[in-house]
Amino acid sequence: MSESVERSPVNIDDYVMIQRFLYAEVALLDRRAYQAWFALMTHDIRYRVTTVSARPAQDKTSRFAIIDEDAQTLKMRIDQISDPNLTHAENPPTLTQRLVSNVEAYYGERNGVFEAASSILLYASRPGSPETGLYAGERQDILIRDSSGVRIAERTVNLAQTILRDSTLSLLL
Amino acid sequence: MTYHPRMKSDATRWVDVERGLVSREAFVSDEVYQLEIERIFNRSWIYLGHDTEIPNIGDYVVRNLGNAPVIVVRDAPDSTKVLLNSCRHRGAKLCRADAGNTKNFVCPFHGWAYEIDGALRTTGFDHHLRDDTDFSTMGLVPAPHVENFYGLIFASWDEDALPLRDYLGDIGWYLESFFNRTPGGMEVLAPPHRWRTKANWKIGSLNFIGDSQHSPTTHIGPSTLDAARSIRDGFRKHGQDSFHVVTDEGHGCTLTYLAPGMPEKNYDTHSDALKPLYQESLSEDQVSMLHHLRVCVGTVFPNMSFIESQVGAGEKALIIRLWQPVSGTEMEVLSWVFAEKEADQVYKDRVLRNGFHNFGAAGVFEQDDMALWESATAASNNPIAQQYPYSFQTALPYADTPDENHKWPGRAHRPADTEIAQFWFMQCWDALMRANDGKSDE
Repeated sequence: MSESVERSPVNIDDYVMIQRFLYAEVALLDRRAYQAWFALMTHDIRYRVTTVSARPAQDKTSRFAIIDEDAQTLKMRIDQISDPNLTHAENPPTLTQRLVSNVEAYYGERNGVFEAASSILLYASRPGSPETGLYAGERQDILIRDSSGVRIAERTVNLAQTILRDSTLSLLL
Repeated sequence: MTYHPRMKSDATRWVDVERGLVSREAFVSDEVYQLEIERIFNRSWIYLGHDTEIPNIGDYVVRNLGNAPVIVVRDAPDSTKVLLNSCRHRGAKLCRADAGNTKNFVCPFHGWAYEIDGALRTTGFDHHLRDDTDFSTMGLVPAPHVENFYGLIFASWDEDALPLRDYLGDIGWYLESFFNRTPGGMEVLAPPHRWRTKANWKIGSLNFIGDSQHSPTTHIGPSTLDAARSIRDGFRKHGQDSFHVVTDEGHGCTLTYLAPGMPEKNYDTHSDALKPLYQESLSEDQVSMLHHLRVCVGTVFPNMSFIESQVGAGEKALIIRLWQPVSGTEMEVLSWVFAEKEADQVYKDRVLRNGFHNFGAAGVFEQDDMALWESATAASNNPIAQQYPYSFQTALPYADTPDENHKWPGRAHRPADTEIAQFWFMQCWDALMRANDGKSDE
């Protein structure tokens, strides 16, 4: 997402529309309605999750991806965790609660395109274990609105972690 | 340890060679972990990183040699030092980041300053020291042995360590085929993925040295959904040719090829642009080892593993994996993706993405591995379970029948869905664990 200074914040109606979209979208993930969630992606979706390595504070931060999917590979990921016969990591399923806040939204390059930033906190309780995982990050989305509704064209989730402490990540953010 | 399939079992504490069993204690006990640090990790060659992570003088990464934090630093164009990341004064870490570049190491606690080769320059209070204070004994503690194998940086705390090439032995031939197959060598494509998993580190080493039996069940997801379904169906139809290779010191790998007669179009995903370079850099035998290779997965004893695989929709990705023990029941995993330096950026990006889509901190293969490794560790960590050892019994019928026609280094065993390589790893592990035990190995 570009950081150009002349981006203009969306008006209140569009802000509420975007906020509603983000809440509805994250609810699909918490309900494990993964295929319905995937239907909110555009056909040329780029979905990324990044972490960072600890560098001296004076160095430039350089993030790197741990998930970097196009529609085809994202669909494989979704198909795996949504079919009980095809996943061990998510069977029994992780209990999750995702909190989305700090929404900022701007008008994009053309009509119907929005740039939205939000914070996400993913609480994940692994089945049969007293331990819980927490993932926090900043999300940067490019949203597109057309006659069929709002869809996500690009999402980058920048996790605030250098080492995933709760094993590998089978969930989406 | 050299390869002799029927080791004497009388002094064995954890591994029952005759019955193909291994004590569960070996996979959960913190006491065993402490012994492993002393007898295995502080005596073996340990992989620490790759040349291309620290290309410039002053570049460093922070890793663990055994369970000791170390700085791996490029101190001269062709030299790497491995230094204990702990000030000689009062122990603080010189480097608290994972990686960076520096002209010297200055302790943030009281200001002792070291050159990048570890030599002490000043304590900051040198005028208060006696005149006979010997700075040459006060540098950062160096690992006595650091060697480079085609870009792979290994170190050992053991003063009497074998030369690295002797330690690697026959597995070196395979490593060379993957990491020195073009004149430019391989390149790390991104910083390592890192994650903590509550499972014993050896499960990782065993998984990669040759655990073909887990694939159909653990990985039913990706193997069912594989976008390159035509390849999978091709293998189903034509079969595949695979075998285990084990070598001295507990190393090994498992190779899987296209079956003879299978049409090669679409199945051989090494880049056509790079293949001519392989012929420049490798022997004819090594080139033929790579030819039509679908998957090679292996372990360098004790805790470095590697995999080059063609799964999913994309390019074949070469990955190095470090299983860093944290305790008897937890490890930290580091995972790097590699491509040939000569490859173009588009190809490198595709290798990287495909590599960690499958194997990495959110890999579609690894997420299911980790869930099951954690469950095995959790369920074994009690005295009732520990009365019942793990079974490696499918290794037993094959121990005395290596493939006499194998023409490459190491001993090959067919078929490739036995536990022969995994049990070989455990026998070598057991021999080292007993080596300092007051009991004889031979």
